[in-house]
Amino acid sequence: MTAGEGVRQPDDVHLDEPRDQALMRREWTVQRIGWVTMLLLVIAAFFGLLGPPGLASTATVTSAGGTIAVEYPRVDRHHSPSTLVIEIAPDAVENGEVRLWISRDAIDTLTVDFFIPEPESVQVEPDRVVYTFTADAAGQPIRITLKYEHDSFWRQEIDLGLVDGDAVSFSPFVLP
Amino acid sequence: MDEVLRAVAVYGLLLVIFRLSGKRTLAQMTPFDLVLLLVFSEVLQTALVDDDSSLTGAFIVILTLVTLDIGLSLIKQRFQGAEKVLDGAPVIILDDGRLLRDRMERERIDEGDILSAARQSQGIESLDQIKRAVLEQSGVISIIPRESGGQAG
Repeated sequence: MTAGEGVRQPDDVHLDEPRDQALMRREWTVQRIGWVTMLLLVIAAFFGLLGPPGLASTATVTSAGGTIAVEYPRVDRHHSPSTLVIEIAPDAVENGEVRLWISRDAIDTLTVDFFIPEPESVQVEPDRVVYTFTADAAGQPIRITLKYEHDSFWRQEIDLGLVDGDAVSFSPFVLP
Repeated sequence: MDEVLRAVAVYGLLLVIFRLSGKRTLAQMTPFDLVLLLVFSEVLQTALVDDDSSLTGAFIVILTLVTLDIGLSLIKQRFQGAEKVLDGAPVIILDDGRLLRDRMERERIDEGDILSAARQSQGIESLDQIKRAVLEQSGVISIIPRESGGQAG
């Protein structure tokens, strides 16, 4: 692909001029607008605005009580590996374990690949799924990583929280 | 970000590999070369998109490759030095009926290649009828016959 030459055509070119000259100019203008648009999209993709990773790809939501914070991708992609990082304050630990729930509506639109660490048990309730994690280090925040893929497009509503504790809600936008 | 970096890396790597492999590599495509290209595409597909099967991921890779290509073409248009580095320069391999064997050897071209290009583009049968043969940046051999001007092979 090369950039256009001058706009003037030699006089001995007998195509469908002058009609084609106007078309040609329009085509060049559209092409250049397209180039700039493509460059902007590539820059947006580089910074993570079209999905993670990237400097601007994630946002963090913290519960009102401050016991749970979730780092999630603002924009995600359909059937593309993604990550949620859930941080739970140490005072949410009860009897050496943490019980985290994710709404059933959210789980139904995701394929959960795995958690790090793996939950000790999983309990399915009518409107949510409860995961129980062992909290080994007392006094330390608990960090849970969820690897997953979205099964649906556009805006998704994800609610999660601690059983008998704080909850957060966030809405990543899922591109096709 | 990953896709953009992967696409830039693959584009740069391919540019260097094909530049090092010489002008004639793709111009002389044999069935085996075609199979090699298919193998390249299969290997690169995984390297470019990894396990991202989204439409957006594929779209970003294509956009990055095309944008790089346009960007480089603009750079080459403005800076002749860049064009020489990226695309090389045309090489005269036959001048005034005389074969420049040293150049031909370095570019992996023999008399048969010149005659083949001459027959296909100009209907020329012998080297005597050729004024000049040039190996173009694209790997194509241009033939200028003795009697009248002409080109492309």
